[in-house]
Amino acid sequence: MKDIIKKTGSLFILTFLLSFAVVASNYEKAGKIDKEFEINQHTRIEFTNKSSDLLIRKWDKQAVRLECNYKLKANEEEDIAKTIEALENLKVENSANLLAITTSIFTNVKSTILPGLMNKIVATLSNGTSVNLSEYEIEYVLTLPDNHDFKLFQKYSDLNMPDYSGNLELDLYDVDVRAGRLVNAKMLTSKYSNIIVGALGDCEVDIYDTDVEVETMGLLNMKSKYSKFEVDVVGAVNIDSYDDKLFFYSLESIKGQAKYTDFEIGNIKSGDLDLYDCELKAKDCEKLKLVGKYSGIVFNNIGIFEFPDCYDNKVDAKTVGEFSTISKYTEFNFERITGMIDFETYDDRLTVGQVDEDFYAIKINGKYAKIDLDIVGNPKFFIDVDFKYTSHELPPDLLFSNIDTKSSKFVASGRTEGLKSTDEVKVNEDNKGIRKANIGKITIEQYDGTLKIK
Amino acid sequence: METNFEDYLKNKRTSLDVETPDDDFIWAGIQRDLKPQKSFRFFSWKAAAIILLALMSGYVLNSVLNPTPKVVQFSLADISPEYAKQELVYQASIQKRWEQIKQTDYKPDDYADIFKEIDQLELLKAESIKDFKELGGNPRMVKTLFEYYEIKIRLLEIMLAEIEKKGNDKTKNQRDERYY
Repeated sequence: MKDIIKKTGSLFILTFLLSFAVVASNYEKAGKIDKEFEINQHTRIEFTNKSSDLLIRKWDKQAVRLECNYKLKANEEEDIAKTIEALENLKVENSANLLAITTSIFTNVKSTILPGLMNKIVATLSNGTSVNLSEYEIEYVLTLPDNHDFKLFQKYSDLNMPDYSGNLELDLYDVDVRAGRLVNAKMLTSKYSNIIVGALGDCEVDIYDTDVEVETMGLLNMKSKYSKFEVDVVGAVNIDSYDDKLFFYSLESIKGQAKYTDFEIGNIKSGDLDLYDCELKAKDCEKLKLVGKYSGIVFNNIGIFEFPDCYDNKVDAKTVGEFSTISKYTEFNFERITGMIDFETYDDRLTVGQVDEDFYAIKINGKYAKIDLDIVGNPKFFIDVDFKYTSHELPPDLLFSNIDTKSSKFVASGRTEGLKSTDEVKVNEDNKGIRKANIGKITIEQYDGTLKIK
Repeated sequence: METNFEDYLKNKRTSLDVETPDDDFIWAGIQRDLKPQKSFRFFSWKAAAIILLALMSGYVLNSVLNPTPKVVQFSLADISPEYAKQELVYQASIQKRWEQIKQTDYKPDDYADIFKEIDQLELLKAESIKDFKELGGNPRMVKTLFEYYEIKIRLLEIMLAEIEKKGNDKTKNQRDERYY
């Protein structure tokens, strides 16, 4: 019995090894195909390349050179010859206005890969003939003059590109890109790619599951999903983002909408964002307008901060000049408010560590809010309050008149000690539009909740 | 001896054939023996044909009434068998999240945008499959298809989080109505 098992096992191993001997390739050929295409100064260049690595170079000639470096292995010499013939006769459209080169030579490929053991490719060429290959390695080198309109469509490969100053459109699908300064790159469409580039121009970016690193670029108009976009210096940014990680370290402004996105942004002049379940971390912003739901928002300093539609967020900032919001279920923590608070609230929490003594106005209207304000220095202000069921704590030196305390209410008008009702309020605006006043105005209409003003 | 026996039969034949065989009786016996077997065979073929016809009709009718898009079965194992195991892990992870979602009382209409994202993802997968046919099994496609699974898992996680948020909002609103 043991003998039978031994013999059967040996036969199996022998057959197994023989099967690989049978598929072992007999022919191998490596070489280069070199083609050159004359163009004029205005010719647009289009290059479509699927599945082969591409190196782009520049030269001064008004011509495009395409080098194809190949390495082929097959059982039949004829299969190698047919493949080389196809590589020598790529689809090329060459007119005065357009040079379009397509590198695909197969219409159908069936391949089996057993890493380290077997690599079998059965492919149908564009002319209908079939070839059997065990290795098919192609790399293209494209040399072109600078300053031409250039569109590149590339898939499943590597791309290396130098600085290029012509108008550029990149359409990439699963490509690893290393590129120089593409200062007139106008359009970047990409899926499943990794892109490291020195520069882009004013650019329309449409990316999906793509990581992009850029040093500098002009205006950015971006639609992105599941991507990471990191830029050191950028102009105005317009985004439509979904589940991204965005880093804009230095930018002029930002506008747009985002869902499930994490941001990190530098100083901005203005921001106008609609956020849903995002995390936004930013430095300083002169003028910020937000709509947000379920988001975490952290700023350093904000000049004028409008949040007209705020639901279940957490907002932190160091210094805010003027703050206005219509909010529900949100927690606000500001270290300092310098000018104004206009707070329409429902079940929010607002904590301000310091309100400047020369504030312009504080207006609170809402229900179930917990508010804690600390007005520093020696402030002068007029105050009107209308509390119902509200637990309140006000500065002790206030003088009230017209007090109504019926039905759990506390309705009163008052002012800080030393003020006369006839004293004139003088409002001034700083160079960033933040209002200050010699006498502030506090108006509170609150139902339930708590209010503390120190 | 044989000759004697044959002679005996010849001589006695008339006396031996005293009764003519009862054909009807014999035939009835044969029929009795044969009928049940023949009937069963006939019935089983008929039944099989009817069932087959019914199944085919049902299939055709169902195809006409409920046309479904063609699903191209494509596996990472088509590129390389070593990826099959990893693919199974992804598929199990997706299945697990779907089961979690199905245990909730979610309404698909409430998550239309997420289903739209999943549709887009399926379109991209279809593109990769098309490329696989045209370009063969470029190992990079494996990465793309792994990404497909990862994004799909991510979207299902987003959906679970959204379902939870909806539940929390509902609780908040009910609390507000109750207390305020």
